[in-house]
Amino acid sequence: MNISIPHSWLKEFLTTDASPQKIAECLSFCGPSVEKLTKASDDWIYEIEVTTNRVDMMSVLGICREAAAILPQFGYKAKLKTSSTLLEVDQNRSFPLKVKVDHQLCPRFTAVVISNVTIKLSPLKIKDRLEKSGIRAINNVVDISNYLMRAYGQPVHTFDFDKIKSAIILRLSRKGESLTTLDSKTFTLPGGDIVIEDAGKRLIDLCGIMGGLNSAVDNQTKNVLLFVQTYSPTHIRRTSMILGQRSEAAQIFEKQPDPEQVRPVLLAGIQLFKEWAGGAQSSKIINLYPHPYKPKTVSAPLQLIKERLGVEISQPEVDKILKSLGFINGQVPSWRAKDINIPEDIVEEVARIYGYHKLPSQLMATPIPTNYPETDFYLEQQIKQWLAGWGLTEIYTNSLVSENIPGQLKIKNALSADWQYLRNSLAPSHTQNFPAFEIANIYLPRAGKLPEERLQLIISGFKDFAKLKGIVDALFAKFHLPVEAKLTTTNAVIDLEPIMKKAKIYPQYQPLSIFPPIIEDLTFTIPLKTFIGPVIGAIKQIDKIITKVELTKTYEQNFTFTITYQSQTKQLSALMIAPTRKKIVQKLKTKFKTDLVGELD
Amino acid sequence: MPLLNLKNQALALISQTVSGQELAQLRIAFLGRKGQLNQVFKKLDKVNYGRQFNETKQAIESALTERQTQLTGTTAEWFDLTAPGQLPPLGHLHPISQAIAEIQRIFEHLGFTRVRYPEVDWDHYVFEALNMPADHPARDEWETIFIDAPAHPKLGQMVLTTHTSNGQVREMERVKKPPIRMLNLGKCYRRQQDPTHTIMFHQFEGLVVDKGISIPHLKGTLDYFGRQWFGPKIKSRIRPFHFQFTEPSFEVDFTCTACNGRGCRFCKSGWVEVGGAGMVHPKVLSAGGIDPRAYSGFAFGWGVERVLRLKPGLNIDDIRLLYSTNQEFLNQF
Repeated sequence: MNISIPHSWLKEFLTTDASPQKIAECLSFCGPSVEKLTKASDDWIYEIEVTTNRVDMMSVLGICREAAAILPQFGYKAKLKTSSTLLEVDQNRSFPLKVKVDHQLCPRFTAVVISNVTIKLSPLKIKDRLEKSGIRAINNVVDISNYLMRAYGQPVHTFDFDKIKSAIILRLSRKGESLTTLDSKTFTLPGGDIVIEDAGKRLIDLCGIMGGLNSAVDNQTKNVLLFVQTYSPTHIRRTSMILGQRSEAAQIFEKQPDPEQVRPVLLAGIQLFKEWAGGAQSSKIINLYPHPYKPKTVSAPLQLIKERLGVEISQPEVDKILKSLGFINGQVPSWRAKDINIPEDIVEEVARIYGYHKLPSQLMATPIPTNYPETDFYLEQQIKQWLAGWGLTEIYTNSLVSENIPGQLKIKNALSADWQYLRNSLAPSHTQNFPAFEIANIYLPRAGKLPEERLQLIISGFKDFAKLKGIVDALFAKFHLPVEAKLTTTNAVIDLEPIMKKAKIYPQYQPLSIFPPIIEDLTFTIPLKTFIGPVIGAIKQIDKIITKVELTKTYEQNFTFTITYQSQTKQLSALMIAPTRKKIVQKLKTKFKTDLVGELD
Repeated sequence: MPLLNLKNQALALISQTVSGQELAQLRIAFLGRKGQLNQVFKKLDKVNYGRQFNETKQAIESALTERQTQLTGTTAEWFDLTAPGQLPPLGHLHPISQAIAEIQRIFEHLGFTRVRYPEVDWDHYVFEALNMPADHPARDEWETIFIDAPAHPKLGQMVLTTHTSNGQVREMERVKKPPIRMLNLGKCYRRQQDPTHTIMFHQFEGLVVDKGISIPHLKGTLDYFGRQWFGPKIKSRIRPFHFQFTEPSFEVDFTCTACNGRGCRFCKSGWVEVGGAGMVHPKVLSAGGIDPRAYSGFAFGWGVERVLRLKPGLNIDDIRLLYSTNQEFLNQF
C-alpha cells in the first residue's frame, strides 16, 4: 500500500533539522521506502510504500515515529511532538442510543454524539493537506474522518445522529440482507459481514468498509455520531474481498490497527469538531473494551543479534535503538504488538536502525553441499547449444493454451480465453513457419496427485522433412543412441528425460583400425513407395564388415548407397568383399524387389 | 631414413629463405619432376615407403606455403580475402536460456546446487509453509492462478506456483540436513500481462541454510552476483521490506549500470531495484524440518526477465516479446 504525505503535515508531529530529501533518503535506508518525493509549491510530497505488516505506518504519526528513530542515526536532530492540548472530557451526561455490541466482531467500540455542527468547507490549510495526501476535501465533517485516518492511521466513521433510530446493534449479517453504501452502491450481503442495525431494523453501516447511505451526513446534518472502532480483521477482509470494496478503511482494519489508539483518536475528533464545525460533545463517551490490550514482552539475546548482524554491537547500543522505537525494557509498544512476536523481529528492528548499509559483505565459509539432484542441466543446455548451432531458433511458448484437448488441466480463474488450459503437448503451440525448437514441461494430470511434469523437446517448423530428420539423426548421433522421436512431416517430439538418462556423452571408444576401408557406391532401382529406412537397415545387417551405409544420391527411382567396408583384423581387398556385395544385391532383390544398376563382376 | 634426412634438409633450407624467388627454386629442387624427392624415392622399395613418401612431400609443401605467407603476407597466387564468406546456418539461443545458463554458472562458483521443483504445486509449498496462512493479506501480492482440481486433504489447493520460493521447503525436505545452497530456477505464473509482466515468467531462488548464516553472507552473495552479472564496479544494497517467509526481509538494489550509480533519467537515484531477499523465517525452517535454534539461512528470489532487462546494453522494453515467436526479435540473439 502506498500513502502520500505532505512535508507540512509531517512537521506537525516532528521537529527536525533534516531536509525533505534527507528524510526521504534516510527513511528508505532504514524504514519505509519513499518511492517518490515531489515538490508542490512551497511544500514537498512524500510517496511512501507501506508494507502489509506495518499498518502503524499508514499514517503521518507512524511515519514520524520512524523518522524520529532513524534520523538521529544519520546525525540529524529529530523529535516526536506530543499533543499539547489535553481535552476536558465530560462524562456526566448520558448516551442517547441503546448499544449492543458483539465483541468477537468489535474488540473495542467507542462513540460520542457531537451536537450543533455547521456543515461547511474545511479550513484552507486542512483542504490543502488532504489534497496533497490524495484525499478529496468535501466538507468539514467528512474531512474530519479522513483527516483523522491519515493522521493516526485509525479509520473513523460519522453518522447523522438524527437519522439513527434509537439503537445500534453491531452483529453479523444474514445472507441476502441488503445495504446501500455512501457511494449509492447497493449490495446484497454474502452473510457473516459485520453490520449495524438500528431500532428501525435497518442496516445503517457496513462496518469497517463503508457507512450506509440511510444514515449518512449531508448538508442539513446538525448532530453527528462520531464512531471509532476496531474490528475482527478476518471478517473485514472477507467481506471486502467478496464485495470487491477495498476501501482504505478496510485495508487498515484487516491488518489490525492499534486498539490503544482508538480513544485518543476519538478525543482528537471531538477537538476537531469543535475547531472546524463549531460542534460540542453532547453525550458521554461510550468506550466498550472488555479485553484491554496487555503489554507483551519480546526480546532477543545479544548473541543472536551479533550473529545475525555479523558485527560487534553492545547491549546499550541495542537498548538505545529499541528505545527510540518505543520499546521499553523489552515491552513492545502497542502499535507494534501485532508485528513483533519472535526474537528475529527484534533482530530486524535493531539491524535496520543500525543500518543495513553499515553491515559487512562476506561470502559463506561453511561447507559446500554435495547432495545433488539427478537432473542433468548441463546436457539440457548442451542440447540447446547443438540445436542453435545447427541453425535452429529457440523459442519459448506459453504453457497455458486456449485449446481444450482431452487430458489437460483446466485453470479455475483464467486471465483470458487464450490461457485456459495447461498443455499436455508442445506441438499445438508450435505454429511458427521457421525451424525452431523448445524444451519445456508438459503437464499430465494424475488423480489425487500433482500432474506429472515431463520435459519435452520439440523440433518444429520445417518445410523439408529430410532436414528435420537430419537434425533428429544428428542429435541422437551426439547422444550415441538410436533415434527415439515421434515424427510428423513437420516436427519431431522427444521425451527428453529418459533420453538424457541414457545418453552417452562419452561413448565407448573403438580402437582405430590400422586397415584402411574400402568404400564403394552401389545404385539400385527401387520400386515406388518403398520405405528406404528398412532398406538401409537390411544392408547394414548383412555383415559386420559393413561399417557405414549412406544414401548419397537419388534420381527418380534410382538410389545410390555409399557403403564402407572395414575390418579390425585384416586388410580387405576387392576380392574379399565380393561375396558380401553379392549378398547385398540378393537380399535387396528378394526383400524389396530392387535391381542393381550395372553388373557385378 | 633417406626420406627423413631429405625432409629435415628441405625444412631447414626453407626456413632460411629470404625471398619468394628462393622459395620457387627450392620447390623445383625438391619437389620437381626430377627433384631430389623423386630421385631418392626411385631407389627405395615403393610398397614399404609409400606412406612415408607422401608424408615427406606434404611436409615440404606445407613448409613452402607457410614460408611464402610469412614472406609476402599472402599466398603466392592472387586471392580475394574481401569476398563474403559462406555462412554456416546461424541459429539462435533464446535470451532466457542464455540468462539461465549464466545465472547457473555464477552461483555454481559459490557452491550452489541447481534444482527444479514443480510448476504446478500445492498451496502448502507455495504459501502455507512459507508462513502465509489462508486469507493472509500478504497473499494479495501474488495474483495466483488456481487449477480446477480437487484440493489435497493436507496440502490444500492445486495452484500454479507464483514464485520459485515453493522450492525452499521442498529443498529442505530433499536434503533433510544442512548445508543447503540451493539455486531453484524455473517457470512461475501470475495473473498479469503488460509490458513488464508476463503471465508466464521465470524466477531464480537462492537458499542458503547452515550454522551461523548472517546478513553479511547475504550481502556478500549479492555483491558477487552483481559483479558477475552487471559488471565489476557494481555494488548491491539492501533496504528494509516485508515478506512473510523471511525475517528480516529486504529489497535488493544494484548500482545502475547506465550511470554507474551517479543517478540518471532511467534510475533517478543511482540504484535499480532487482528483487526481494531476507533471512529465512524460523517458521519456514521448522516447516522444512530444520531446527531454527541450530540453523539460520538467507533466501532471495528474483525474475530472470527482470535481471535480463537490466543487463547492460540490452534494454528490452517489452518483455512480452520474449514469449512471442517474433523472428525479428529472436534473430538478434
